[in-house]
Amino acid sequence: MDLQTIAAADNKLNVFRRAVVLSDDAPAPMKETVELSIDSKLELVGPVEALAKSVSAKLGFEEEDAGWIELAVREAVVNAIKHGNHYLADKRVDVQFLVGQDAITIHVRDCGEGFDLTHLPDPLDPENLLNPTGRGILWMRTFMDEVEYSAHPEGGCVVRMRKYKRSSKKQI
Amino acid sequence: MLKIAIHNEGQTPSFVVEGKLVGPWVKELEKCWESVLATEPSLAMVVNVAELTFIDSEGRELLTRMRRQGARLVSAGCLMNAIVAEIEAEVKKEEQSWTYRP
Repeated sequence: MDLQTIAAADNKLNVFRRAVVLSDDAPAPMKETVELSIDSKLELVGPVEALAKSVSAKLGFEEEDAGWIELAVREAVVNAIKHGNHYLADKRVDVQFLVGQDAITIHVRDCGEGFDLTHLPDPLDPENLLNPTGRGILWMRTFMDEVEYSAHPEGGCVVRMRKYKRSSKKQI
Repeated sequence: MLKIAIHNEGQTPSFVVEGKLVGPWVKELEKCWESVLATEPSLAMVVNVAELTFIDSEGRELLTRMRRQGARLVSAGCLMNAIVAEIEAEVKKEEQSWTYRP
């Protein structure tokens, strides 16, 4: 290959690269997915919370709802680190935000063995009212419209939470 | 799809960014970045962009800001290598202009 051919190829690549880098026709964020994967460390919950609040605010959720989503995601991630992965650094927590037109769906996956919801103590039981822990799942169910737990086919436990925008709730 | 993986083991935290770094999602990466920086302000970070498939001008600006703040950008492939090389050259030029300022 002579120098002229190389220069021509390089020039073509440069044009392509600039077209890609400088394009302002970015795809619309609707029906997009943002994933965040973190080590099982509580200090990394902050970035997940920040992302949750920011994504939901961007979707048009009211500030109050965005705050509830942030709190629910925080609870799910803390549970995944604490009870799912038992703080083991080599086990990761994957958080997926599925952004739709009228709702946000969040999947939080840990690498634990899962748990039986029916065996969890009731945080509303007078005996447990002074217990400082055990309210995470109650909060998630209170703040979100749908909360489901399932086992991931590749291992681990997945919590799926969905919150609809207030405007879309009226139509349902 | 944008995927951000934060690895916080050892002395150097690292970000692995995959997919499309475009439009509004650039801010999300920036928020994560700032959030980690707030907890570990003194540590240099590694940002691996080898698996990025698409990046717009805002994304490029963010990577430049990260590099200016001391992050090490790791790339692979023709496109990302070229973009990172361009950013490196830009930042080096800025650093030199500061050095030679009378």
